[in-house]
Amino acid sequence: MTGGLVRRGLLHLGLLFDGPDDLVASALPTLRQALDDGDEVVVAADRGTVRRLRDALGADARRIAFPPPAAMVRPSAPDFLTAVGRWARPDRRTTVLGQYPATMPARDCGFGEDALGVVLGDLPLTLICCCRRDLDPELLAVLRRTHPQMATPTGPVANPDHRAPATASPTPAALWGEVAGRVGVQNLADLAHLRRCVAEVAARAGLEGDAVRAAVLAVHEAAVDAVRRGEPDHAHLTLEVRTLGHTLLSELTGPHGIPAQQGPGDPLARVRPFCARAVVHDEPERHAVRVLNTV
Amino acid sequence: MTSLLPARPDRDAAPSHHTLLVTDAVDQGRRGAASWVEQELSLGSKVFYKGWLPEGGRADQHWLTGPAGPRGARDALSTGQLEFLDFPTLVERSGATANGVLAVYKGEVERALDDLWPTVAMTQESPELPMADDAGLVSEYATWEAGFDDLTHRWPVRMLCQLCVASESERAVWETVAVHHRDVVDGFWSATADDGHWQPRGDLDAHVARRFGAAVHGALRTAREAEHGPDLHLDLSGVDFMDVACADILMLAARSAPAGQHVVLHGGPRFLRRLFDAVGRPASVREGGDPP
Repeated sequence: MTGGLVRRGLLHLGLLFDGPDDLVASALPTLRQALDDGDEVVVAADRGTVRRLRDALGADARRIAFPPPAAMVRPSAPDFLTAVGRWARPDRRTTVLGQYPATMPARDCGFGEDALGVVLGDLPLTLICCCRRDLDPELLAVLRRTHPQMATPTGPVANPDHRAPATASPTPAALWGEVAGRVGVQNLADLAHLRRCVAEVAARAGLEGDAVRAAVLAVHEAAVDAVRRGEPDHAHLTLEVRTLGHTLLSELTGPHGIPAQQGPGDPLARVRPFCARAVVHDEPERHAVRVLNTV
Repeated sequence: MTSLLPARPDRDAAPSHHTLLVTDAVDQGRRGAASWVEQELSLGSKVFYKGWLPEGGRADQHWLTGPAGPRGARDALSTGQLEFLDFPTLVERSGATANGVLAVYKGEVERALDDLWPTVAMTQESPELPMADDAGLVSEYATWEAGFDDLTHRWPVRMLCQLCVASESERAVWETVAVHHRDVVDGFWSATADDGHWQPRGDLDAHVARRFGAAVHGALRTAREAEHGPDLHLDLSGVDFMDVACADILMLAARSAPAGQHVVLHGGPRFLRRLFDAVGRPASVREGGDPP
């Protein structure tokens, strides 16, 4: 049913609907797959949708949690990322379906949705974000732009309207503030400058001791991988470091793609032990790679 | 013979040492060597410099006496405080054997001391020895470097061996760093040995991982033969940064050490232990106390 999509990391699906029947038809393939795979499944939807979903799933619906829509945090909320991060379980996948409220500001919603892929892209989550077609056209546009796949009655399909946040996207800046440190890297000999940059920003953000060491090492390892994939002495990498409270977000961009595979071949296996999150954004059409770490 | 500058004791300068200076490129090596020679000239040492000359060139045409060279080198060459010997002549005189090389160096030291120079400074450029093709040469090289250690133990001799990575084969880099693990300076990291403890310092990262690995192997090899051996006591208190590549190499070296030899860790941040655990710490790596 997944149309060839491999369920690893974050699966972020958009769903456009006209009414409850339409919504249920498009969501069912993904929800059935989640139940078959033993996922924890949460559906926060209006009563009409919940009723139709119970009818369609029969006894399987008992394995779904149905909190009221008001209990779900909105993508526009400041603590959206934290709330979503808590849904993830270490031992199994979690699938969550939620609906856009009609009154949600499109701009703030866009920041939240973009940030999911940027910051939480490696979490074992399937999110189905549903938007009624008669809502604010700007909200519809946000849904189309921010979801790599769309949920349809035949299962998830690639979304041609999806645009990953560009390297220069205001999203990271809007989420994390201005760039606090920036350095260019061409080869392994430049990594000392990169480490100094991260250490200085980390210290200014109030990190100390092992927290600084971990931040420096995580970014360093990400850069080592990226440099080794580039031409010798011409890696053309740029590191930008931003802070939010005691959290560092380091963004490494360059022209050389990293195969985004998990498991034994995980390109970030050396990075992950030293940071909270590490995500690859491979955008071959722009020959850009972003590796992000929050520590 | 009198020195160009009056000899004066440098309380910071050790009376003797045998150091390896590792650089990535020729110009970096020249900057480091020029600075070292300049300091030795100012300290009043007799300086013996061995290196490569352009074909048909003379000693006063070497870069050492040009704008990139140390201040005072040209004058020192004319007064005799600085002597230059080109490598082809050294090979001719020594036969490229350990005994031959040591005889040349020993002769120079004795002559300088007879001339009442207070200290002798000896340095040689990256020798570009064909070690990759000649296992016998590797053995000779190790023997004459051990002989250099003897020279610095017996007399006030400071020796700086230069290694330019760009000019040497991987085998030569490996052997050279391994032999010099007791006193090596390589960009952002260095290492010394003292009281049975081997102490790397500074930043150990992927850029220097192979060289660090060579030094670790040299230190393990020496510890096996040492009176206090066979364990290698590793003082980590001077390590500012170590990445996964270097931690990997250190743990692999410990894992591949002969049965009964351990790497004993002393000092350093707790974070390094977390790093070692992340890459896989073998049973042959143990915790020791604080470094002396």
